[in-house]
Formats: sequence, structure tokens, C-alpha cells
Amino acid sequence: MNHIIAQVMKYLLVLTMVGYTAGSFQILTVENPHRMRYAFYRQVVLVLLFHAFGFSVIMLHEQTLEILGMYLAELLFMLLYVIIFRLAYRNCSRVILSHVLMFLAIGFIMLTRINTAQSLKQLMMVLVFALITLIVPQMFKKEKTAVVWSWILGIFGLLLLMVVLVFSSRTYGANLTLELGVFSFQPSEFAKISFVLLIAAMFRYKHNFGVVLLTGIVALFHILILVASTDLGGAMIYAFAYLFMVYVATGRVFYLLGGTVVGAGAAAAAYFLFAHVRTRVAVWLDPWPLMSGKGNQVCNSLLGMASGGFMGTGLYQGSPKLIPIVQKDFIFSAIVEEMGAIIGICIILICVSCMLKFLQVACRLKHPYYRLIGVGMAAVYGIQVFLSIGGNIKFIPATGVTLPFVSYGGSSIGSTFILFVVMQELFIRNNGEEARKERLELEIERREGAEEKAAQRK
Amino acid sequence: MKSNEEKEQRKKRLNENKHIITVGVILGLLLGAMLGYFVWFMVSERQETMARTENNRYDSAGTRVIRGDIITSDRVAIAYTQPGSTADEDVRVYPFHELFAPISGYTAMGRTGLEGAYHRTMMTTSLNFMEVFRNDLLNQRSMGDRVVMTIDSDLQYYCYTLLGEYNGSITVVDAETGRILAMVSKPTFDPNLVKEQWSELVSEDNKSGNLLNRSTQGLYSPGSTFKIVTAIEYMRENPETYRDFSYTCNGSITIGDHTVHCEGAHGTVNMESAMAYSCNGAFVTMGMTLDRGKYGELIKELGFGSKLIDELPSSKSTSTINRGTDDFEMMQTVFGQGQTMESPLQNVMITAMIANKGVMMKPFIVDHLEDANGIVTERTEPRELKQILTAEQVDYLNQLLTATVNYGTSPQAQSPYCQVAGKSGTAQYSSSLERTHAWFTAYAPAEDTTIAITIMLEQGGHGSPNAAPLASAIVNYLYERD
Repeated sequence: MNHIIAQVMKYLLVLTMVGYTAGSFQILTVENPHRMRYAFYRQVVLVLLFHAFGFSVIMLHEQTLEILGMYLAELLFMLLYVIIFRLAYRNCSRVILSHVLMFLAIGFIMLTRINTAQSLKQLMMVLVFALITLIVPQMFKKEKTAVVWSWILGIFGLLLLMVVLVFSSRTYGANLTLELGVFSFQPSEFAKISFVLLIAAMFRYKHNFGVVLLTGIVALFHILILVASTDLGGAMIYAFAYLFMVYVATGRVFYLLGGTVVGAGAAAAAYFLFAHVRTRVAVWLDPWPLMSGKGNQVCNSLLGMASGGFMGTGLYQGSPKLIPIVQKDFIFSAIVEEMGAIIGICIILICVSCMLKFLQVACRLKHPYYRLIGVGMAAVYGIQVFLSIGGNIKFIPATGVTLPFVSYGGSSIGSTFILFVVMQELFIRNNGEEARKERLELEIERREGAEEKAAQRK
Repeated sequence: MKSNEEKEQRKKRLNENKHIITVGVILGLLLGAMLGYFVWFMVSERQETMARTENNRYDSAGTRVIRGDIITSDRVAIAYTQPGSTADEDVRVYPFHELFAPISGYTAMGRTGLEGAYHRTMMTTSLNFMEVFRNDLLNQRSMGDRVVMTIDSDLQYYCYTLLGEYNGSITVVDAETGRILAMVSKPTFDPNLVKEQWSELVSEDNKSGNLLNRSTQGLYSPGSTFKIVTAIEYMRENPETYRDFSYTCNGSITIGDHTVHCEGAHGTVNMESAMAYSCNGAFVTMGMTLDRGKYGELIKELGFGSKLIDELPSSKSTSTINRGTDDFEMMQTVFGQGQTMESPLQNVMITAMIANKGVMMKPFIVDHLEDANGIVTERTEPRELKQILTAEQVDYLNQLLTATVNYGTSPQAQSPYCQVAGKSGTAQYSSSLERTHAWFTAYAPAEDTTIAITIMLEQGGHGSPNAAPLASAIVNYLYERD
């Protein structure tokens, strides 16, 4: 019986997700504010439906009050978050807001199915960070305070990274985590945000060679610390984000090409220096002979996705738990196995649309400082999605990077919340009332000028 | 006027943002390529990935499917599952114990044989949607698909008892299609007791190789049955003159420092009597005239060095013959000693090829797969591998091999029902002349087809007195049972 429910729900899940994804592209074409509001409500309803369909299978399978409580708490959270965020920031991007909800909903469903206890922990983290990050836009409202914050956070992030290098505990071959009582904390997750802020602040006034050199030193310092803690996935995110930021700040292709060459050289050096890089590359080239050892994750990920197919096996009908640490690094394969590749494709599309939206926000901004933050955040997000999903599907060697908002992990959730809320603030700068007023004034000026010209001609 | 201005503004904005747009294009291309790869994987790599032997995803399928049966061509179940209340309580039953063990394999400690190769088939159901849906509603498990073999259960049982106390194997194939009708290997094991006896079966002290399917995995020196291969190559290289071959045997032949003995002096022989009396001297004489490169190629063409059968684990037969082979090795090989190692399945494929007018067929042991209601989902079609012999060569080889049975070394293989053709082999497997494996390979018309048989008795003494009578018995059985 449960099996049938899972089968029916799997089609409903795919249907709502496809509807949501199509809607998220349709919404970009909407200009009429009433229609916009309607489209946004539609998107939120689709997220809630998706969440409800997923949880109905979980509840039938687990049949505990705890699950029901979690479902209701999550539902309440999602509703409240939309309402409070919209109350606090009326001009925020509704597209980005609905995407946040969708990613969280998918994560909640998959994590609860894999490990209820961890899912509960995840929910707590989401609640805490959703609340804390509500104030972030305030910090970035005035440019001066924003720059001060950038410097403070940037230096603090760098210090944290150094601390972790010294007092770290090893998790899965990489020194990433700082144990604080019951909580473990991954500073590199937060430091990538502070890193972007710091670089943007440094490029605020000038972008001559001296500044490039200085930012280069700062970037190299970050990257070397990560390499020393053998977090090469993290190092790649920082390196790419820096490269794109320098390119946009200076407008010189030379930096982009030169940086790519240096990066390729560094990657080759890492291959020869680190044994675990070599094994990951070997697994990427042919994982099957290594299935009982280092290739276990990748092999099981491929087998899981293959057995799921386009429609998935249905929740609880697959075996995603065969992949070690599936809830962190391989959450995408778990989703594809049980919910289907169509949902996987939708997730990639939503991630791409998020990233493009970030870049669009950056384009519309005038001040180079904010523009650079936008570019940096978009790059961090895009590269992280690329490394995470690409590693899962064996497009590139696995680097152990989380999928933002979907994977399990408090640090990942926290940093992603900050990233998205900063982008909201940048969006509001464009579309906020002041910006609108400003634009209106410009428009009036332009028209008056035109009228004057016309009058003169007469 | 206005539109011009707008255009200009747009151009300006585009110019301001061209760097950000470039970043967007690069990141978009990266993610787009990843999406493309993902779709490609799902469309074209998916089936291949699922079919991998490493695939463990069907292990949990038991919660919804009862593992399907393996049955013989006359529809006798040789492996079935007695369902418990949950999948963990299921018992896999092999009602014939040792009889089919080398073919069926086991599921208790890993999976081998057909149980391994068709794991996925038996753990999935092809029953129609409504039936599966009904079972789901009633909370019942659906029956997995069935594997139907080409093996004839009566013939298999007959061959098994025929082998008696001998260790070795009997392989019977339908020469015209490549269907394997019986495949017996001894000593073997009881698949019902694999778990209990595991430590014994894989113990280093256990030298009897119970888990080996001797027909496909055993490799032995072929003895005089290999003279057939030498005869084929001699006929190929001397198409006009092979009928005129003549040799006078005085009991031994010496080339350089090496001497090969015959069982007595055969006097003057041609190809026919050389084969009939299994004259080593005549075959060494023929063999030393052969082009070693071409001889090696023929051996490869016949299947040496290749995987012969898809469904079962198998060993590749080996031969060292090539252009550079030295005289001693060549001399030994042409009458079946030397470094050549052959599996009984390889041996019977050559015999079946002669019986099938020179066309080698791909051997197969699974006739078709079907769902629990008997609706066929996949059928194995007979496949021609290669035309090896011309019609004239087939006729002459037939003449040699019938002579062997009619007046030569192996009268024991004669049958009152039909003309049997065959060749015996006595393969030394150590330097002692006493320690020999006995071979006999034969073909005979049966019902509406031709069957080919290879009998291989480990430490079975001489081929003609010990192995040839079994071939005759199998042919007689096929005639008498109807």
C-alpha cells in the first residue's frame, strides 16, 4: 500500500516541480505588479504542495508524531518566513525568495527520508539562521557601514580560517571543522562570503595593478590556508570567485586568461602533491575497480541515479543510504534516485536561474563595490553548484562540496542564507523605493530635456 | 527619435556590463555542459550502468518481488524460492541438489552461475501493471521473472548418472543451433548447503575444485582429439593433395633430438587410417609441413583465447602456437600434447562445427526469459559465428571420424540406431605415462537435428575404452527414450 502511495506521489512531485520550474521562468517575463503578486503566490503554493506530497509519503512510512510535528513546523516556518521577509523588505526579489523555499523544501524531504534526527537538527539550523540573517540587509544598506562590515567580516573570516588550520578535527580527509561543544563549525563556509566582501571592499575606489596585487596576495593567503587544510573544493570556489571579480573590476581579459593558466598549473601541482587528489582523479576516470574502496561513493551514486531513472524509484523505494555521507556531499544523487532525473534537471535549472538572477542584479547596480559583491556571490554560488552536482554525476572529480540549501550541515545552511540575503539587499537597492524615485526623476529630467529641445526647435 | 535614444542607452548599458555578461556566459556554459552530461548519462549510460555486475540496487528489491525460478527446457524448476513472511525469511530451494549446481550456481555467499548472471531478471517482474498494482494493494509480493534454460532435465540426469564415480564433465550441444542440452560437472556441491559448507568448499586443503564448472572453466590438455584441428589445417594448406597423403609408421618418429611414439606400428596409412588408428607419427609428419602462423590463426579462429559463452563464467582455452614456435612444441601440439589447454566446451564446439556443415555456432544455455505467467520477454536467437570448413572438407572429415568409430580405435562408440562419428583422446597430464585424462568427442544424428558430445574424464585412463562407451550410451538413450 505504502508503495502505491509512493508511486502516485512520485508523479505528483515531478509534476509540481516541473510546474514550479516552468513558472520560475515565466515569472521573469511578468511586469504587471498584480500579475507578479499572483505568480509569486502560485510559486509559493507549488512549493508547499511539493513539500506536502513528499511528507505524506514520509508520514505513511514512518507513522510517528515526530514526523507530523516536523511537517507542521516546517510548513509554519515557510509561511512565516515569506510573510516576515516580505513585511521587512517589501521590495525584495520574490523569485529568489521562492527559490529559497523550494531548495529548503527539497532538502527537508530528502533529509527526513534519509535520517530523521539529522533533519530535525537541520530544521533548527534553518530557523536560527533564517532569523539571524533577517538583519543582514540592514548592515549593507548604507555604503559606508557596508564597507566597514566588509573589512571587519573579511579579516574575521581570515582569522577563523587560520584558527581552523591550527585547531581542526579531521573529517573525511579534509581539515574543515571546528568542534565547539556539541556544534561543529566549518569556517570555510562562512569565509567564502567574507572573502567576497573583503575583495569587493578592496576594489572599491581603484582597480590599478597595485590593488590587483594586494587582493591577489589576500586571495592567495585564503587559498593556501584551504589547501593546507586539504579542502581543495573550497580552494577552487575561492579561486574562481576571485578570478571573476578581478576580471569585472579591471575589465581586462588578461587577468581571466592568466588566472586560468595559473589555476590549471596549480591543479596539476595539487595532483602531484596530494595523494587524495590523485585517488579522486582515478575514481573519476574509472570508479568501478575501486568500488570497494575510494570509489564507493561515486559508484553507488551512479548506480543510484541509474536505478532511479527519469521518474525515480519513489521515496523509500531506492537505497540512497548505500552512498556514504549521502546527506552532505551526495544529496543530489539521493534526490535523483528516489525523486527522478526530471527533478534533478529542474534543480539544475533553478540553480542556473538563481545564478543568472544574481548577475542580473549586479548588472543593474551602479556602484562598483556592490556590483563586485554581486559578481562574487554569483560566482561562489555557481561554482559551488557546479562542483557539487558535477562531482555527484561524475562530470568532474568529486570534491566534497555541499549543494547550497539542500545538503545537510549548519555551516552550509548559514553561509547560503547570508549569501541569498545579501543578494536580496542588492536587489532592493535597485528596486527599492529610493531607487525607483531616483529613476523616476531621471526619467522626468530626460522628458523635460526632450520637451525643451522640441520647444527650441519650434 | 525616442527609440534611437533607447537603443543608444541600451548599447551603453550593454557596454558597461559586458564583463559581467562574460562571467555569466562562462558560468552558464559550465553549468549547461554539466546539465547536458547529466541528461546524456540518463539517456545513454543508464542501462549500461544498471547492467553492471557491481549493481547492488536489486538486493533490496526482495521486499516487493519474490525471486523468479530457473527452469529447464522441459519446464522442471531447478531453483525456486519458498517465500517467507518477509524477504529475509525466503529460502532458495534447489530440489535436485548437485545435479544442476555448476549451471545454476548459488545465492548464499555472493552469487554465481545463472543466479549471478540473471540476478536482475529474477529480482524484477515483467507482470503487467494491473497485476502488480493488485498485488501491491493486497500487500502481496509479485513473482519475479523466470529463466528458461536450453538444458533437458532427463538428459542432464542421464549424463550425471552415466558419469558415475568419475570426476570430469559431459557436455551435449545441439550442433545446428548451439543450444546446450546437458552440462554435467563433477565433483560439485549442493547449492542448498553452500552457506553451511562454505569454509570447506573454499578451504585451501580442498583440491577437488567443487565450485568449478569443469565444462566451461576446466582447462585440460586435449590429447588426440586435437588431431582434428591438425587435420583441418593440413586440408586447408593442401587442398589438392590431402587425399594422397601417405606415411609408413614403424612405431615411432624422430625429428631432431625428439622422438614421438605410437601405440604399435601402424604400417602405411593415409589420412583416413591415420585418424582411425590415431597414428601420432602420421600427424607429426603432417604437422611439421604446416605454416605455424596459419595453424595458430586457425586455433584462434576455432575459439581459443576467446570467451565462448555469455551466461556462465568460463575460462579461455590457450595455445602457444605462432610463427616462431619451435619444432619440439609444434611436434607435441599437433597430436594434442604440449602447452595447449582446452576446455570441454571449446572441444565440443569444434565437433559441433563439423557436424553443422562447417559453421561454428555460438553456444548458449538460456533459451528465453519470461514473466511469471509465461509470457516471453527475451529470447536467445541461435547465432552463426563463422563458416570454418568447405563442404568438401566437411565430407572428408566426416569420413575420417566415422572410420575411427567403424573400424578404428573407438568401436565402443558405435550405436545400433545411427552412424556415430568421433575421436578419442588420452591426455598425459604429468610425465608419467600412466596418469592420463580420457576424452571422447562425437557427433550423431538425433531426432531432427545433430548432437555433439564431449566427454572428459579426469584421470580417466584411456579415451576409447573409458570415455567412448558413454558417448554411445547417450546416443542410444536419445533414441530409446521416445
